[in-house]
Amino acid sequence: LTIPSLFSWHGGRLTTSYSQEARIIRDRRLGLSVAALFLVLLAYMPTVLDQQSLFGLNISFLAFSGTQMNLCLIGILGAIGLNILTGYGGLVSLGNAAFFAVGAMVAAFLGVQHGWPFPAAVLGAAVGGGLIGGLIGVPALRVRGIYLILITLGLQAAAALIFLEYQDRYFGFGGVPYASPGIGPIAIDSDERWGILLLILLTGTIAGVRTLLRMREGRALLAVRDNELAAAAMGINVFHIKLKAFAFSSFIVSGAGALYVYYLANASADLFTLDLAITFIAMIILGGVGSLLGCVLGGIVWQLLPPVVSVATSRASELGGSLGTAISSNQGSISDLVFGLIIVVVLIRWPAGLAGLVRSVKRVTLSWPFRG
Amino acid sequence: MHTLIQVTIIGLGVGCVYGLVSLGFVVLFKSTGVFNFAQGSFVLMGAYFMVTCVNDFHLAIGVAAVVVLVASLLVGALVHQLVIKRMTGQPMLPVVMLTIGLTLIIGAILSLFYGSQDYYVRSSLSSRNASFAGFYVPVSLIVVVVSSIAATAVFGLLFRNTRVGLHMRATAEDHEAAVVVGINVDMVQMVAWALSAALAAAGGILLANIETVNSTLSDIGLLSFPAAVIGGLTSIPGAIVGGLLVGVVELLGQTYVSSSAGDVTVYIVLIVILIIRPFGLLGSREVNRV
Repeated sequence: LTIPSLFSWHGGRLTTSYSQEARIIRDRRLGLSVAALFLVLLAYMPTVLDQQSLFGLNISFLAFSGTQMNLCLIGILGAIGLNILTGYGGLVSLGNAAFFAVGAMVAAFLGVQHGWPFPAAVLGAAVGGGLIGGLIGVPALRVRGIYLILITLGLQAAAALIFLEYQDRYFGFGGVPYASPGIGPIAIDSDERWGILLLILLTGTIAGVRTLLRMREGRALLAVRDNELAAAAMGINVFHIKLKAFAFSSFIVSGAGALYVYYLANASADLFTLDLAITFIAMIILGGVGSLLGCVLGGIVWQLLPPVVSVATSRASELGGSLGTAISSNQGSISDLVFGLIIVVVLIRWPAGLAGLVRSVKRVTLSWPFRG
Repeated sequence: MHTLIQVTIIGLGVGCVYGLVSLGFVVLFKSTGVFNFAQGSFVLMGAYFMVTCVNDFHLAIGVAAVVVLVASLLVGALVHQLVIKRMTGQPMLPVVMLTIGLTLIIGAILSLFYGSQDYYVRSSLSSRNASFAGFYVPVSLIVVVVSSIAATAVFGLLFRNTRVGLHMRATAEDHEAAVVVGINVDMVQMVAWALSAALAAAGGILLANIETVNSTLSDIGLLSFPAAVIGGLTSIPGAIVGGLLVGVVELLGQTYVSSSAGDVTVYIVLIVILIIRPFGLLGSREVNRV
């Protein structure tokens, strides 16, 4: 692996045979170097967390912690679930928070009430969420995609209500306590262990989704997104494909929800709001709709933005005046405002999101000195 | 039985407001094809503006209502000119997500100015009650019903008898054909946004007279979507019928199921209707089914 070969002209974009076309990792050298870079960053991570500095740059204002990193990983999992539906299926869903709640409830039922071990409870939550998604998709996907927004809105209302009732009946005001998780003899009790578990799960999910997208079903889903009529004419059962996508998306999101509540160790109904569902939409728009890399980037920014906003707003009080105090005392609204502005600006100016930016950087550097 | 009729009466009153808001939603969907998620934010905006006009500027209710309506017409037009116009020709999906972003922005700006506390419009209407044959009917509710009917009638006439209305109907029918015959489609869409925002704000104005005003009022907007879909998504009388139905069903759910089950009951009815009549109660059958 030499540096010039990294920047060789074909840059993994041009292929000469079908076997090259069919590879999961198109350009092995690029794939290897990205993997190496990732491992180096991973090894560097504890130092960053420990010293709160990145390459000598003080980042203590981000309050970057293992907790944040893990929440970020869970958020990325949820975003991938949504992206399957929105990015690859062309369907907008506001049900992400609802499926988080579904996952949390199934995990509570299996893991807390029936004492299933942690991996079984999480898997059960994912499967249960997938089944519920499949059931709900039947009326929602029969007609135009717009109806899915409505049905998922209804699902959001229902899930919040059901979680509240469930919590009231069995656990009371304090919320649902999730027992300390562990896989076999290994207890998942620290941020580091959670981080490793979540990274493994995330890598598995990304590999799984990538593979699925290259299979018959995945390509059919993309065809349906791009032109429903043409896809139907080619013999794809549009309704079935959409239903499968919805069930699969619900599977991932519910699993992420179960992990989320196990990580927090306690969950109550007010976690699963419509605002949570909207932040997932914001994440995939910011990162790039229909891109797995976009989910990762969007998830990272989503997790890092609130601390940045809170630093910026606390500075605003130094400006003085009523506007300054209004800004510093309403950090939540400012954070919403920034998110809303990001959604609007990104959609209008850079519809491909951060992933599109990465793609164009990659195109320019990999084909250098030629212009791509 | 007495409770049932009483609840239905109140539900019909509230349903008028839903009807207005979902009428705004339908008008926009019909003439621009945009699913406006921000409809609830316009409701909230109307209610908050009403609070400011009545409590701080001491305007009479009628004058304040007109001022707020004009203001929201402007806001609607501004939203179209600043944001939506740049997305013309894009598929539906990004535009829906854009309106979700707008919801965040409008909500955040309103909460910067109004915070999270409750407001009450000092309305002369709110306290009096009338009673018909043993049923209790708040005067404010009668005013709400009458104003909704008036607003719907005015809107129907506008849509049917004016040049702008004709252009809007033409754009709704066939966007490209409307461009070809020389209709200023951009203008038509701006008018549609302005009217839609004003109708939502009208809902907010009426709600401000019968309810406490706080940030949860924007949830009304969320219930106007099922109202529009139940009515048929592109049908103007359907929006009103859907709104009334949603109002009644919500209150029945709150009364007979659980105090927090109102919206869930509405969505259950929505799902049932979608299964039986996917094109809505008064909608046309030409929904693109797959």
